This record gives sequence, C-alpha cells and structure tokens, in this order.
Amino acid sequence: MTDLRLPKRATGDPDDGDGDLRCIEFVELETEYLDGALPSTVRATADRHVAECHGCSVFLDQMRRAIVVTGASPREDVPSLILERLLGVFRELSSPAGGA
Amino acid sequence: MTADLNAREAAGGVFARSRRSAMPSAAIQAIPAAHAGARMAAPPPLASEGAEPIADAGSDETDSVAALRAGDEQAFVELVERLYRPLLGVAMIYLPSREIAEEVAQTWIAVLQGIAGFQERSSLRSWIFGILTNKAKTRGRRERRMLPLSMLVRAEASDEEAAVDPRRFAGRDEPWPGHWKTPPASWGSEAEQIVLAHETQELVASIIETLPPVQRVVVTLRDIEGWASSDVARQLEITPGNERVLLHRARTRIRAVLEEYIRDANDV
Repeated sequence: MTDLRLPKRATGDPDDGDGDLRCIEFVELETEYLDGALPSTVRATADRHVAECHGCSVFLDQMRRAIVVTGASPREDVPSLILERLLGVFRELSSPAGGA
Repeated sequence: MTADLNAREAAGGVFARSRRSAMPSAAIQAIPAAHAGARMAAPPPLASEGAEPIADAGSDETDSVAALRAGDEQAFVELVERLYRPLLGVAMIYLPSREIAEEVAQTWIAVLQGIAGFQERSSLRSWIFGILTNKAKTRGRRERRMLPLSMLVRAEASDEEAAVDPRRFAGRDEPWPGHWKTPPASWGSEAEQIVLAHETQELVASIIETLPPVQRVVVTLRDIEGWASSDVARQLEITPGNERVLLHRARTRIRAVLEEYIRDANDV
C-alpha cells in the first residue's frame, strides 16, 4: 500500500525556510489538522497561522460547517422491496423450525 | 448506540445521528460564531481530534448480536437501515451500480445465515462489511470489471485538483506569494440557518453522489456515519494517509460548492 500523502502542488517555493505556513499550504492540511494527525511542530505552525490569518480562519470555519451539513444530509431509504425480502428471510431463519 | 452517540456529541463531534433528521446539536455549538473579524486563537476541538473517538463500533454491538440471534425484528430493521448507505458505498467501489443493491441484500442474507456461528472476534460491523467486501470483490473479479482498489485510490488521490482554486492565492511575483488574494467571505450570521436548511442538506447529498467512488465512501463513513479514521482505513484496506487525502478532496469539494451556493443566495 503506497501512501501518496498530499501531492506537491505548483505553489512556488515549497518552503521559504522561516517555518511559516502559507495559506495555499494550510488549505491542503486542514483535514489532517482537524483529525489531530499533524506532527506537533506542524500543528503548532498551523495553530499560529490560523490565529493570524483571517482568510484561513474563515476557511476553517467553512470546512467545519461543511462537515456538519454533510453529517445532516438525508439518509437513504432502504427500498421497501428489499426490506420486505430481508424480513422474510429473517422470520424464516428466526422461527423455531428455521435457522439451524 | 445511544451512549455511543452521546459520548460523541458531548465531545462536540460532527458525527452522524442514529435517526434521520436528528442534528447533533453539540456539533453546531462546536462551531464558533461567524467571524466578524475576530481572530481565533485555537480551533475548538472536534471529537475526532487527537485520539480516535471510538476504537471500533460501540458496546451496543453485543446487544445487536444478541437481538439478531433472538429474532428481534426491530433491531434487525434498524441495523439494515443504519448500514444501508455505507454498505452501498463500499459495494459501489467494486460493482456497477445496477448490482450494488442486490449485493447488499445478499450480504444481509449471509449475515442472517451466519449470525448463529459468528465468533465475535471482530466487531459485528467489521464482520458485516467483511462479508460484503469479499462478495463484491469476488463478483467484480468474476465479471472482470474490477479495477484494483489501489489503482482507484491512486487515481482519486493524485488527481491534481487543489482544495481551492490556485488563482485565489498570490503568485510568486506578487506580494505575499501563496497567501490569499481572494479570501473566502464569511458566510455571515445566516450561516446557521443555511447549514440547517433542508435544501442545503439535499444539495450536499447530491454533491456526494457525484464524487468518485472511494471519496464518496470515505466521506460517507467519516462524516455521515461517524466512523473513526483508522476504522475506515482498515475496512477499505487503504493507508490512513490516503484515507485523509480522499476525505480532504471530498470535504473541500463540498465546501467549494457550498461557498458558491451561499454566495449566489446572498447576491439575490
């Protein structure tokens, strides 16, 4: 299983050496950031960045809201034909005569 | 189940509800008020931050197994309904869409036939998904339509689509290269209503339908069903790193569509 991680984007210099994060990098780290999956040094840099950058704090807020809406999206109904059929099997197997 | 969800909601989780329409209220509260120029020192924690919220399915598992064995019809129907979308999503990775509902039905029949002998060495959920994955793989292979999952993952994860249109950031010859040139506009005080609106939720459901299959199942399991990252990776046999790349693609796509939708709504 190869781990592809985040592909390098055409973002100019990957790092200007001052340990700061640019917005274009931060937006790609966000899921790892929310999952608490970033190494602690990167995490600290990201915390600092989001505290100082209004655009990225808005972006982070929108990501969180997007996650909430996703969690509330309507559940797909099990088609009644399938449910009836499964219940038929369930009853048959659960009855004393069925199953074993 | 109930205790399980409560624990997640208490932690401010953004996770799924066990009932249609029930919105995790704590998840809403976990979102900071719209930024009115305010700077955020540190983001409020999500349930998934730091430690994984739940190692695997909760303690209701044993109850479910017992209920199924005892012929509890209600428990069975609830389980079928709860796992329907995730199972469809996994089947979709391996099979053409016309076959997935049947494969899920066949999985449940195999579950019912096997529940008496289920050893509980894995969680009930893992066992059910394992049955589906094996069946779908076998069938996909037989019909020679199956791309290896690793190829799908590679294609979906290496797709060069950025989280945000790169033109919204300053280029290398501009001041502050790599920083916002066109930052996202705050969704404003109506954001709460927008997020809760049924129409928005329908929109998001339709975006999810258009995602590539592995992204779709990852975002369904993580953000709708509330699975832990490690469980999704294990179930789909992908690395946690790739799992997050795929989730990130899906989430940023959803955010981008919402951004456009809300901008249009505010323009009217």
